[in-house]
Amino acid sequence: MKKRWLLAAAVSSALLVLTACGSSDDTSESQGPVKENACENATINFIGLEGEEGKVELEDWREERGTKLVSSWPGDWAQLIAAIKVGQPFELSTIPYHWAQRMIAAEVVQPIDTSRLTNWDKVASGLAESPSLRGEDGEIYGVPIAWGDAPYIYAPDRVSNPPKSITDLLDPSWKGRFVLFDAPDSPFYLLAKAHGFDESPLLTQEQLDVVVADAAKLVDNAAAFQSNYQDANDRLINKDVDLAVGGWEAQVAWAEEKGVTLDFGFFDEGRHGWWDGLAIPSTSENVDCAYEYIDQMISTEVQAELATNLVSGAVNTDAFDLVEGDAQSYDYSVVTGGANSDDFASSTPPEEVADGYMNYQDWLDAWQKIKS
Amino acid sequence: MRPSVRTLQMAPATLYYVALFLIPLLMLAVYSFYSVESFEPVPKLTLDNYVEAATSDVFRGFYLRTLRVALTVALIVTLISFPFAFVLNYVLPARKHVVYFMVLVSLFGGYIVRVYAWRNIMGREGVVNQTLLGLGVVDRPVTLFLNSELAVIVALVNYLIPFGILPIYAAMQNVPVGQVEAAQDLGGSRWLAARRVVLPLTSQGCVAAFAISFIATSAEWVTPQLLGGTGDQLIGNQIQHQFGGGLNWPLGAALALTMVVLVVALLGLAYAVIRRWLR
Repeated sequence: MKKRWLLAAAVSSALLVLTACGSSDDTSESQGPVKENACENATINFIGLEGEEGKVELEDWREERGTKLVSSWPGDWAQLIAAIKVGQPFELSTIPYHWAQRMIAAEVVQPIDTSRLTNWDKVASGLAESPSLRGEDGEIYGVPIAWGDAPYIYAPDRVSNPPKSITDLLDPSWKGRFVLFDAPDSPFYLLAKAHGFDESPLLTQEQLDVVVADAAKLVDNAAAFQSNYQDANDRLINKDVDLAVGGWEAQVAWAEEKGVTLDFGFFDEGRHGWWDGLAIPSTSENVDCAYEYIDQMISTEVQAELATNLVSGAVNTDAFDLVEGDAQSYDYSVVTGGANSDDFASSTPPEEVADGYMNYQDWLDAWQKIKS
Repeated sequence: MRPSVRTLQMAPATLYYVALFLIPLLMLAVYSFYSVESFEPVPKLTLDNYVEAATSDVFRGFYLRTLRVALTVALIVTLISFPFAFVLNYVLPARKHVVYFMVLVSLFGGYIVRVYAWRNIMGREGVVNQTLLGLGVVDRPVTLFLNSELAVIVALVNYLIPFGILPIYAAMQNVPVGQVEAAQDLGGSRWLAARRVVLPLTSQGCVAAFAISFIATSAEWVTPQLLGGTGDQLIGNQIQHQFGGGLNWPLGAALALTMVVLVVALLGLAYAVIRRWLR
């Protein structure tokens, strides 16, 4: 009798484990024309960054339609991918520039037919034409809603001569005085540019070796890895560090609220842009509503309000003059094909690269080696 | 055949253990043999993850650092906890309930809150630096405290000391005060009584304190991230990375299980050494 119980328990446990470990192939791609007022009395399940779901900016719009917004904020991007992979239904998700290619390759987002978006033509060309939005099939998988240019943030009272090049931070005088993100993106990209590797972030093995050697010195000189922008600000405000590589202009405003003056600057190697967008997850149960919502998110008025609230760049060209506050400090020429448009480049290589080049996984592996 | 009362009594604990420990551990074990395709674990069984976990120079560095930090923390916690529990039980018997309660109260504070508190204490303008500056010991803030292995160890010791005191204190409840007094009546000092009488009789509690601290530290990743420098990350950070940004759950699972094996082996060794030393 006991043996039978044990056998049954073992079989049940094994089935449970295998079921739990099993992957979900559930994907639903809605086809056909977008229904008008598809969001009426609908629920939009969003997963992604807090503040980028239009919670405030589209509150009235949702109220008019009886639309409910339910937001989930994952701890990191892998959690977002996992949540969609296991089949949780979401109408919308954030798609950030540095994870866009991974999300596309992981097939957690579906292609977006931009002809369905009435405001797509107003999206700045530098963003709309960015290869980082596109999959290998050439389809667009994300619609940018905010962008920035990754400055460094520093405390002017302790840094009288802000660094001109990222290589300045390799100097022993900077030892223990700055933080950076625990990711190779910005350091590798900028150090490669400093070495004159103009194709950065596309690097050969030899070029990557050169960059990694410098990056190891950079990491050794850094005080710590910042967890996020707020963490970097805390360290700057507490005077534990003097500079944060990979920042956001909004940090200056946050510090001001605490009576501390911070400033931002750019390395001579150039700016590298970031954008956050909205994507339609493969598990979306109301694709039409997702399209309608995304279209609203890139409309002129909503964009102006969103950019002002996030202290980020607006993506809608008509909204550029309408943004207020610190969001006005952005140089919009970098996303409109102006003189500095070359500066608005992605800092990460794609997942699939031509022979002879290193992909993002190679960068991540090299970064882990530096830390060991 | 009806289940016995004993079986029924054990059922809740067994279910809890199976559901929340055994099955997750089995899932981790299954995942560790999976492969990754398009950033998704797929059931193509392989030993590659274990080969990488065992042979990669990258992971070896993280494992060694983790074991060093865990050993340091566990030793310090045990060495502090024993005399603390001794004083609590034999020197301050009248106030032991109050002090014991204070030890428990220290567990009420949130873990993350404590970590951030340490950042403020050890920072450039923190309490430690202000005190040293005020006393004239240093003429400029010391930057070595924060963002260092020292900061990680200090914070973990502070967090784990209550977990070290409790099992030792519990073990001391089984050592009659009369035995300690007898040792002192026979000419032994309080220290000798503690070392020759109480310590051998509470060795199980000491081993438990050491093991709890060692295991907790070997699984750490938050404290190194918030208090450590760029060269102070532990294997927990790597496991977190594989389950997070690395999108390689099978490798993360293999790293975690390899660490479990290492910890069990080292604790077994430590247990044998302590037993022999106390004999």
